[in-house]
Amino acid sequence: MGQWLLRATARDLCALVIPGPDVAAAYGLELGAAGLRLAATPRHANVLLIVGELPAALADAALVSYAQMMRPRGCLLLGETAPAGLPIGAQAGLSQSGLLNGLGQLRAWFCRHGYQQQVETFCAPLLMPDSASDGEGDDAGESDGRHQPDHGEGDNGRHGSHGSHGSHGSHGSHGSHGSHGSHENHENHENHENHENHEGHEGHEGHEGHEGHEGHGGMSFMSMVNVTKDLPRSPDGLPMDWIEVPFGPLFPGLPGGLSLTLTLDGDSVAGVKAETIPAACLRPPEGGFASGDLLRAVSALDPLTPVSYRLLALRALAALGATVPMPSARRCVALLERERVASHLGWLALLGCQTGFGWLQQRARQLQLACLRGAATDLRVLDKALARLERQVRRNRLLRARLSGLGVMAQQASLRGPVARACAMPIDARTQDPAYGELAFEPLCREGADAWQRLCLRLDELRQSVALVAATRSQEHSDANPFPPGTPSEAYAGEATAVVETPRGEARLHLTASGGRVTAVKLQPPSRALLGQLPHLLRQQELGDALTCVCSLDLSPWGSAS
Amino acid sequence: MNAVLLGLGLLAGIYAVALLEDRLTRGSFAPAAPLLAGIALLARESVVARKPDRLLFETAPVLLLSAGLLAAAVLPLSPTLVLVDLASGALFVNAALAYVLVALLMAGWGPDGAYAMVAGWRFLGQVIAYSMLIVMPITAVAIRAESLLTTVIVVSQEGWWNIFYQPLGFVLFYIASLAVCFLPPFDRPIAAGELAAGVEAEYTGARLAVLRLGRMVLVVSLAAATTVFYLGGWQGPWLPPWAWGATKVLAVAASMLLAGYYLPRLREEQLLAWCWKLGIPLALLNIFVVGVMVLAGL
Repeated sequence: MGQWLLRATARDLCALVIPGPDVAAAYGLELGAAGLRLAATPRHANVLLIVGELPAALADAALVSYAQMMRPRGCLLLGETAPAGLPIGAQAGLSQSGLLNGLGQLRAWFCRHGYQQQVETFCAPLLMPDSASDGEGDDAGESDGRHQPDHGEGDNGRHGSHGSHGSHGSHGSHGSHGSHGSHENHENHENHENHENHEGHEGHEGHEGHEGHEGHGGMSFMSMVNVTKDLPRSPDGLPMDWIEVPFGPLFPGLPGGLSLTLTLDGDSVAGVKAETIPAACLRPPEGGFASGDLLRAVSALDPLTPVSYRLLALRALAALGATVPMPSARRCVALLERERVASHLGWLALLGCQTGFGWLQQRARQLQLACLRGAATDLRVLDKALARLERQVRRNRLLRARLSGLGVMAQQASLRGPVARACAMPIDARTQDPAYGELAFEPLCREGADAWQRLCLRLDELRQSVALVAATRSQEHSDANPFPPGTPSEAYAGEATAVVETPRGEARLHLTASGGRVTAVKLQPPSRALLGQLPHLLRQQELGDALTCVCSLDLSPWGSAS
Repeated sequence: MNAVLLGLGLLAGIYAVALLEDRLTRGSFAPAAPLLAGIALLARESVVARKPDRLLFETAPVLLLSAGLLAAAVLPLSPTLVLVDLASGALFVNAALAYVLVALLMAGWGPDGAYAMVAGWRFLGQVIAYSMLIVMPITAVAIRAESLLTTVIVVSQEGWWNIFYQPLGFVLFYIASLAVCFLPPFDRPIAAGELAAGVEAEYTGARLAVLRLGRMVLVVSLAAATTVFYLGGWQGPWLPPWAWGATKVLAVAASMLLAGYYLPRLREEQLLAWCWKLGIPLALLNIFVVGVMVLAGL
């Protein structure tokens, strides 16, 4: 019976992807085709799928998420390095065949290790230390029925929702309780909205001993006014308890790795704090970067757009005076534009997920994977499918109603990329590239500056990019590494800057070198300026609208921490 | 006997709905997937959040399931295949559906998690939008049948099915039933992209299985209600009545799932505005027109 159950469980794998489905797709992984379902929360997942090497912040999130997953659970690592402390069930290469192979291994692992009489408690160090004592679990019909203290609590990878109430302590709403008399046990208040729920009211006149939900039956109307008098006020004047809720870094509707902490006033956003993944790998080692190392570090910085960043590093090194194995100018255009097509399609899939538009999510993802896999001829085959997708999206009146008027950006000098071009600002680093000049490239612009216009602009750019790739007539290779082999020379010195228009906007890399070594690296990624706009953009938006706004900006959290 | 047959029919319907939903979310077809998913959920740990309101947390999934089952109990699959042919059947469907709100609010409040709580209150907002659009079209259906008995309502459609007799009512009821089952584009309480599964976020293992089963039962019940109220129930040529009933229920359930697949989720303010400013006047118009048609003897 147990074995039979395990086999059934092993065939129904529901994965939480770290850093996120967007990164998995950028690596060309087709999760649905491999038989995986995607979980919206670690609670519903039984596989932790780790894609590639994780930066420190995400490694912590992986540990916490694993702690929150229900047993039987397993961890599949696609790549080389596992986060410390995570029990890895199966490991395979970072490719579709690796994924299939790894899932086979994981299923076998599930059957062997799914249930055990003796289990060790897994506890992520990040979880609140004091919470380990009062975790509550009850296992339904399992042989490993030990309570696991790491369920249901704490910071939970900033993904889940538990920590939110517990973290109330700091935001000042407690002052209001002073009017009740001598409350002495405020640390325990979990549900601040629910004034019936205060379990530690010691000095209530007439309310002694009431616990839980017995209610403040005798409380007069005036007392309620007193209770709420010091609560923060919304613009509509209603006093509400504000709660801080973490969204990300593994939130399904946001780019993987982006972590927002929203202060919610009811279901509207009163404050935003954004955290991204720091570009730790760009800190030069003792004596500076050798050019090969720099190239690797910059290319690996953003798994969503590796080609753009590799070109950026190559151009920067070339500008320093190094001899670099650079593809031809035409081929650079083809590579960049192909990546733009794939990236915009990936963004459409994320928008589909965020807005609950299932068809868009699946169709865009399929086309993105086809685009990443295929050779040059295939992109022309995709042309028809892209045109159909574009038509369907543009005609969808509900989508238009949903996005119009959302997240209107004002024209600002700091804006770059599609967000700027949707504000009628023709800013595009490609205009300075002679190879684009030969192809008569003109940046596309739109007016309106809301989420709908940003969607339309990206649809326009999809078509433009496909045309540009076709115009280069570049013989593309479908192999994994489209760049010519060889390492850059080491003879250079001085300072140089290079610019590449990535799918999200202009990325600028400034290198300082001496004696053939790069001693300082300064990167200006495209999403950094937009992150600063978030608090202003999201304030007083309804929660769903706020997340759609963030999604419409197409932020990449990779290396965007300033 | 009737109960067993109806129970089996309901299970088959739920399986078909689960299969289609799996196909739509995963993109590939696997006939055993819902069964495996069910077994896997039952075999998985089920934990309670750290400081739950235990009573609400535990009761909510069962209540949701019960609401769906109660609604299904008065809906006939054929003239004889009905669990209870209640004299107030049509009204009873509506009364049973009222508990969906209660169940979701409880499921949202119970686990003491922010995602779930926001999701629970979101459903309250949704109820304010859709509830009149469930009741008012049913009123017009009852006006034509001159009865609240669900079997009489089916018989009343012998000449013209209500979908042709009162198409406006059908459209409104259909949209509202999507909202009752919180199917896309009305899946605001369980939106993955906005609230990481919302009210479902804190449920695991067997409790999650019951919650999801409850939603499936709800979908089948609402499809059955649409069939009985608007598509002539068991009526149709050649096939036996139960086969017509089952086919129609499955077709409506499939269309409900497919509709949301091609649409984005609605914004709450738009949902409320459209339901109240457009939906309710149209529902009133529908009642008026049906009243006139009945008086005119059509």
